[in-house]
Formats: sequence, C-alpha cells, structure tokens
Amino acid sequence: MSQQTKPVTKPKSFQSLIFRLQQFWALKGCAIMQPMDLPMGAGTFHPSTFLRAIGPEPWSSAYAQGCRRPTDGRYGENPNRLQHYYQFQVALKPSPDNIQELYLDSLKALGIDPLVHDIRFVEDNWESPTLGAWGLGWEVWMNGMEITQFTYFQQAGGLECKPVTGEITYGLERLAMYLQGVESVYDLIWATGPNGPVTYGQIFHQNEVEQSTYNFEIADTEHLFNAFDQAEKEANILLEKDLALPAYEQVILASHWFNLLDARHAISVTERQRFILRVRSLSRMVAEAYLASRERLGFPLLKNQKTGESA
Amino acid sequence: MSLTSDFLVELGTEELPPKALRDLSNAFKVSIQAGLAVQRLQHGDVDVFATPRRLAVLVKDLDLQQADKAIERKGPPVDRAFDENKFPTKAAKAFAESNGVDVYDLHHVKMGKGTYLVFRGSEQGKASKDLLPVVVKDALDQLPIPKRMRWGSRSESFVRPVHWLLMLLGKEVVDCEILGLSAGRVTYGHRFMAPQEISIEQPSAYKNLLVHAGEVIPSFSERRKQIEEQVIDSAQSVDGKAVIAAELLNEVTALVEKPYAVLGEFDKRYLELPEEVLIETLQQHQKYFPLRSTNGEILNNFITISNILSKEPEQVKLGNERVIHPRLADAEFFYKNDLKRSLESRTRDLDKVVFQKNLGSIGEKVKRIEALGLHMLQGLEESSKINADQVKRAANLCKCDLLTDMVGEFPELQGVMGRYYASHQNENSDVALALDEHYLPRFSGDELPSHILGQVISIADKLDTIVGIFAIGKKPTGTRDPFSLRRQSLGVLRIIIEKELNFDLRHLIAASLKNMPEALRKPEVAEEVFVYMQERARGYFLDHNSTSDQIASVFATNTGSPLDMHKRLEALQKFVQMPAAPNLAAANKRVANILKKNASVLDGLTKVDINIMAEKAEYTLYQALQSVHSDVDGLMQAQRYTDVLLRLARLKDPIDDFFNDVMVMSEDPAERNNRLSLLQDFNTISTNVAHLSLLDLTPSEDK
Repeated sequence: MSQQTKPVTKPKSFQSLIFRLQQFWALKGCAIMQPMDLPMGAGTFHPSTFLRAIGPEPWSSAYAQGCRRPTDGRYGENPNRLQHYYQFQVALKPSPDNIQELYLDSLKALGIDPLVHDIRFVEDNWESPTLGAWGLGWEVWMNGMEITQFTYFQQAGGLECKPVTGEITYGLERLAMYLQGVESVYDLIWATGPNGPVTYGQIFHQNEVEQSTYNFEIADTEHLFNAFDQAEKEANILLEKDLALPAYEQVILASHWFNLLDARHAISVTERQRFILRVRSLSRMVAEAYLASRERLGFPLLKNQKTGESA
Repeated sequence: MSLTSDFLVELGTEELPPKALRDLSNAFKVSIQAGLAVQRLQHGDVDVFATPRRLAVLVKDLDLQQADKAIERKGPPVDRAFDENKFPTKAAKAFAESNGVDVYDLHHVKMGKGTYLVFRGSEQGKASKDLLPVVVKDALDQLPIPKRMRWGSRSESFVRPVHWLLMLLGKEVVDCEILGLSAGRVTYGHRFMAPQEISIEQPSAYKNLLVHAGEVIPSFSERRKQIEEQVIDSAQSVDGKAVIAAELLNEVTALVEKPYAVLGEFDKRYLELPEEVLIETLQQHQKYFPLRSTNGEILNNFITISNILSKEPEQVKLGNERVIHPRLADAEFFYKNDLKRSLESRTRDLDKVVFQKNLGSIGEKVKRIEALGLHMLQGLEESSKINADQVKRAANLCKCDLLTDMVGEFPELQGVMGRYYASHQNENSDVALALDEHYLPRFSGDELPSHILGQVISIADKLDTIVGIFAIGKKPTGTRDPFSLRRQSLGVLRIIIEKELNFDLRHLIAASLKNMPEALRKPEVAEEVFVYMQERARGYFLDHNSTSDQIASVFATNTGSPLDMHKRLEALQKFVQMPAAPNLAAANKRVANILKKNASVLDGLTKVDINIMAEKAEYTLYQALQSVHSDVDGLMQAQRYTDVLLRLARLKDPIDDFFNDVMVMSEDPAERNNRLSLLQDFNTISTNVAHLSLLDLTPSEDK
C-alpha cells in the first residue's frame, strides 16, 4: 500500500484537518457527503451511515457532521466539553480487509507518525439504544487519548448488517487540539484569513454560552414533550405510507427532543427507558421500511459493484 | 515409538479484547489438547502465546501418526455360518467380505450363550497432518467468545476479524482452510515496529524470530513479567513504589505486543483530591500505574506502558500527561462542587431515585435499612457501643453520595466518597466510616466492615435487597442473578460468622419482611429466603473444611444463627477425630431407625422406669444418660459444643453394650416401651449439637 515515508506536515487549522481527511478518503473511493441539516447526537445518525448500513448495497462515504449533545454543554467554561462539536465520519461497506491500515494511513496523512506516537486499538463496543444498533470494535488511543471510535456494525435498526459496515469516527476537536498543541478547544485555529487567525472560540464561544443557557434553563419542556409526541406520530403516519426517508428524519428529531428533555432533567430514570424504547421501535420500523423500499427499487447500488455477476 | 514433530498454530487477528485475552488463550490451549487426546495423538509440553494480535499454541513432540486401533466386529453365530456340508453360508460370506477377509480367517469366539464369527483386525492410524485441521477448527469453535462478530462480506465470525493462519507440523505447512484463511508459514511482527512478513521454518523457531525479528514478546507471562519489572524500575527512578493491581497488570499485558514503560507526572495540586479518586482515574480510565512514596503517600507521577519504542519518547510522555490533566480537572471540579452541599441535604432527593419499581425509591429503601438496623441494635451485646442515633444517621446518609457528581462520574467510588464528604462536614467518625464500609464485602474474598456500625448497616442493606427481591418474585434462577443476591447473601453470612455476631437469620428475615410494602409481605417469602441463604451457608461451610454430612447434621437441629452453625461445625470437626465418634454415629443411626419404625407409639411412652429393667446394660445406659444430662443443659446454653460432644462420647460404651446385650423389641410390651423410651432419651441428647445419626463415619472394627 502507501508505505511512502516522506514526512507529512500537520494540518495547521481546523478546516485543513477536515480537508485532509476529506481528500484522503476521497482518494480511497469515498463519496464525500455534506453534513445532514438536522440536529443529531452523532454522525452515525446521518442517513449516509445509519440507513446505508442496512441491506446488501455497497457504500463508501465520508463527511463531517456537527453533533449536538445538550447535556455536555458547559456555558463555554470547560476547555474540553461542548454541547455542539464535530465528528468526521467514514462508512465503508463492506468493511475492507485492510480497514485498520487505511485508518492508520489517514493518521499518517495528518502528520501523525505511529513510530513516534503510541497508537492503540482498545476494545470498545458500541451500542446506540435509540437506533437499535450495535457493533464491536475499538476506541483508538494516541498516547492514551481517545481520538477515534472504530466499529464493525453488526446490527442497525434491529436488522443484521450483511455485509458489515466499518465505521470510523474521528473526534475532530480533540485531534485538532493535539495537532495544534493547544490546551483549550477555544484556542484552536479554525482558519487564517486576511486579518490573521480565526479561532474556534471566536466562532463558537458565544454559541456555547447561549445554547447552554437554552438547553439547561429555557427549553420549554412542555413544548418538547409535545414535539416528541408529534414526531412520533408523524413518523408513524409516514411509515404507513412507505415513506422511509422522511420518517427517518422524524426519528432524528424525536431523538434530539429527547436529548433536550434529558438536559432539562425532565425525564425520570424509569421513564427514560420508555422514551428510549419509543425511539428504538421507530428506528426499527424505519429500518424495515427502508430495506423494503430499496428492495422495490432493485437495490440500485448493487449494480455498481465491480465484482458483480456479468454472466 | 512413533515419529514426532513439533506442531505450531498461530491465528493472526485484529486487536483482541484485553480482558478476554487470557481466557481465550487458555481455552484455545485446553481445547487443542482435548482434541489431540480425542484423536489419540500423544505429545510433549504445550506452550501458549497470546498478544493483542495473535493466539498461538506450540505442541512439542506430537505423534505424526495416530496409533493403529485394534478392532473387533461380531458376525453371525457359528451355527448359522456353515451349512450341513460345512460350507460357509451366505451370511458368513457377506460378513467376511465386508471385512475384506476370507471366512476361514475369522475367529470363533464364545460370547454369552453362543459362539460367533468375529473379525479381528486393526484400523490404520491416520496421519496427524490430516487430523490437525479438525482439531484446530473445533478448538476455535469452542472458544468462550462472549460476542462474536462478522466483518466485510464474509460469513465467518470470530472475536475480531482474522488475518493470517500459521500451521506448521515440523517443517511442513498443515494444508487447510479455517475461518476463510489458508494456512501457511507466515506470521507478522509488531504492527508498527516490524510489520513485515516473517516466514517460520519450523515451530521451534517461532518464539525467537518473533522476539528478535518481530519486536513482539509472544508469551503473555513473559510480557507481564517484563512490564512488572519495568514498572518497578521506573518507579524507583523517582524513589517511588508502584501500585500494581494484578487485574490492571493483566489488562496492560493484553494491550501491548512489546512493553515500554513511560514515566509521567501531573500537577501537584491534584494531590489534594482523595487518593481513591486519583487511583481510580489513573487505573480505570487510563490504565496507568499510580505511585506511592516510600512512606505510602500517593505521588504526582504515573507509569504508562507504551506499545512502541518511540522515536521521540518525550512525545508519548507529554501526550499522556495532556490526557490526565483534563480528567483530574474534571474530578477536582466534581469534588469541589459536591462539597458545596451537605450529604444530609441530598436525602430528600433519594426519594426521586428508583431502587426497584415495586420496592420503591432509594429513599424508601433507606427508611427500611434504618428500621432493620434499629431492630438489630436490640440483638447486640452491651459491649458493642453504638446507639440508635448512630444507626439512624448512618442509614440515612449511606446512599446520599450516589447523588454526587463524583459518584456519577466514578460509580466505583460509591461509599468512599460518602466517607470523605461526611468527614469533611465533621460527621461522627464511626458514621463516616460506616458509609464506606456498608458496601463491604464488594466481591468474594473482599474485606469485611471493621466497625460494628458498618457491619449492621451492611447486613441491613443487603438483607433488605435479598428479601425485597424475593418478595417481588425475582429470586435468582440458575445462572441468572441480576441483583447479585448470591454475593450479597454470602456477604451477610460472612459478616455474621466472621465478626461473631449472634443474629438469628430467621428473625432478621422476618423483621426485614415486615418493612416491605404491605402487598409484598407474604409469609412464605421468609422461609424461601431462609432456605436460599442456608444453601449459601452450606457453600460457605463446605469451603471452610466442613463436609456435607456434618453440615446436614447441624442444619437438622434447625438452628437459625449462622454463627451458631459455625460453632457447632467447629465442635463437630473435633468430635469426628475422637475414637468414639464412628461407633456413636452408627449407634445413633440405629437408634434413629428404631425410633422411626416405632414412631406410632413414641408419643404415648412414659418416663423410663428403672424397675422394669431386666438387663444390666439397660441400667448402665440409663445411668450414663443421667450423668450426661446433668451437665449438658448448661453447656448448650453457653454454646460450649465441644464440651457437650465430649460428654456424649462417654455414651459410646454404654450404647454399644446396650445393643449387644439388650433386645429392644421384647415380647413384653412394658419392657419394650421402657427400652424405646430409653432410646428416645438417648436420641434427644445426641441431637442437641447436631444430628449425629446423619454423620458418615465408618465404625471401627473392634468389638
């Protein structure tokens, strides 16, 4: 493979980190997607991962996704915790035999030399209760710091993944802090423009303060409970009409309303489980509806497969 | 002597789960040995290798060939094998043919009532190289894998994806395909330091090549030893002593193929955190080894084990230091934040935390712990100086730390944080200690609460869970024990027995059941719980040198106090060593049988009457019983069971003589009843400490 040893410089800005990763994975044959325009807790929720992991069709894609974790907000006061942050997500289906090497090559492309830095694959099994999805894999450690989540999907929406999707999720802020050698996420250089560097703090600090205030103090729980119910209702109506994709968007929204309610401590421990189960049962139905819809279309992406039968 | 060669199998994988690695590796070895035994292949020593990326087994001096197997097949009876002209019949010919021999080569063997044609021959052993693929495949199939996974488009499943399979018998590759891999002679070195192919000529070369060309220490135990030595050395460089938890050492060994210790440090200001917090953060979250100074204080250093000899070791050190900083900063934030509120102020919030749907909130559980604790207080001796206020206080505070940020982040620190926060708010020191100790013992073999307050709260808490879960019908079944009632039961028993508390389990269970919600107070639950806990006690006593028959004989007395059971068993263990014991046990069995047969008349028996006695042995036994009687009641009261049994030993000769000389079932009803009555007295006195009739002892032959 790419065993070239020429030294690679580290990306100097947050945006160039994203560019590098996009370029690297584009050259490996990934379709570079854009972020989903809905609030979501993780890049896995993007249809490009969750839905594409379902069914027999092959799929390779990569994209950055903004993630919202309302409970992790710290009003901009914690150098490591954010209620909104970015993941870079790679989904390879079927997972290639050399997926670990591809990943390590991507680190080299960021100027991270695995003979200098102690890179480790440490068991970490992933489960998303709301998506009815789980997989086995690792968190990748660099000098003791988790920089990536690496998962072989075994189930999505309660359906067996055949073939298996390999999912690689880079924590961009952590990686960038390491590459730029800064102690606070707010000191990261996002880009350098005509007036000098623009920092992560300059762009997002106000957002963290204001969104934390909203998430923890202002979000109207009554409205959120209604919104959750409404999304669930809408998803069910859409599923009855075999509209899997819009139904899935309602699942994404329901999940986000749930996260906000959680941040407001509006859901008791026992009730929490019930809410999770409600989202999960929607996810299952969406997964089944999506699979059926792809089947009706004749699994179009199977036709792209090089190794497909031509006889 | 057959020819032998070494056999090596190595499966190359993606990084295996560290906590499972040793189990997987041992199971692989054991299964391969079992498979070889099934195939009747002898061999020498077996070495085992395990790293994050490989499982390997090296079998020395393996037979190249199965031994031939003698076979014997039974054919038709001889009288139907030949016709009247002595020619072989159709059946005989067919049997011979199926064995590839002539009828006249078959043996005539007498079996049971008839004589049969019998084929004797031998089946040639198969070549090992043809058997090994099955042995290895079966061994891999049998690995105790908690969760298997698939990858790519393949149908195979394993712990993690597999990449290469090396199988060598001597210098030859064992030709086969397993888990979608064709066996070869190639292995790979360290993922980063020596990623190239390494060709293995023969099994004996494997280990050295991996060590020297592969930069891998393939043996788990050698790697662990190296890590331990490096950690100790590294600690000495700062005059420290590493805290090496065995579990962590194993885990770290399973996380590297070649270890390099790196010493790092963190800001001194974090030393103000409770040391348990520091140790937990370093060990659990980061897999680091903490350090202590020579006088035992925790140091602001840690040792991490790197998987590479870095070209720039400083980078690895700095990197790890950067990770620990925000973690400790978080812990510090939680600690300071938690201290802003008193523990007491959190009690009302416990009402909002569900303990179990049908058993209510933790707040309600705490009320029950308090009630049971106060009940137990009445059973304590005067000398154990705790008062009701302490019990109330400890019960009410014992779960408060569950609501602190620190315990939210570090659940393992429950109890420990309660103690720190309580001390910080100047709580009574016994109470503070009890908040921590009431969780003890946390696992099998763990220490017990040192102070009586912690002991009481611990028992009350655990018993409340056990009785509550039984009351809602969720008692453990088979291997399913989601509330770990087995562990908690054993905890209660251990505290009572080893801390010498005189609690009657039946009373405690009844008292606990009374605290449950009214709908759950079904009387049958109490007996169910008692039987369950008695079973655990049985296990405990078996582990402490008692035998099943001894335990059964004590349980038969119906004592409900675990400490009392323990004392009786101790006495029994001495008793069974006495020369008199076997005969006495045998006599007791005999007496018990006789009484059982005459159960219908026993109730109507009158007191023993010496005037009806016809035999001397009767009278001797009677007198012996009288003299033992006069002592035993007081000794029983004082639980001096060894002394009771010593007295009973004196009955050996009288009862032996009685059975030799006296006919119990006399024709004369008065005489008979009088003898039965005497035996009933004997029985009553010898079931005091334990039902001696239940002991399995071989009586001595003399007399």
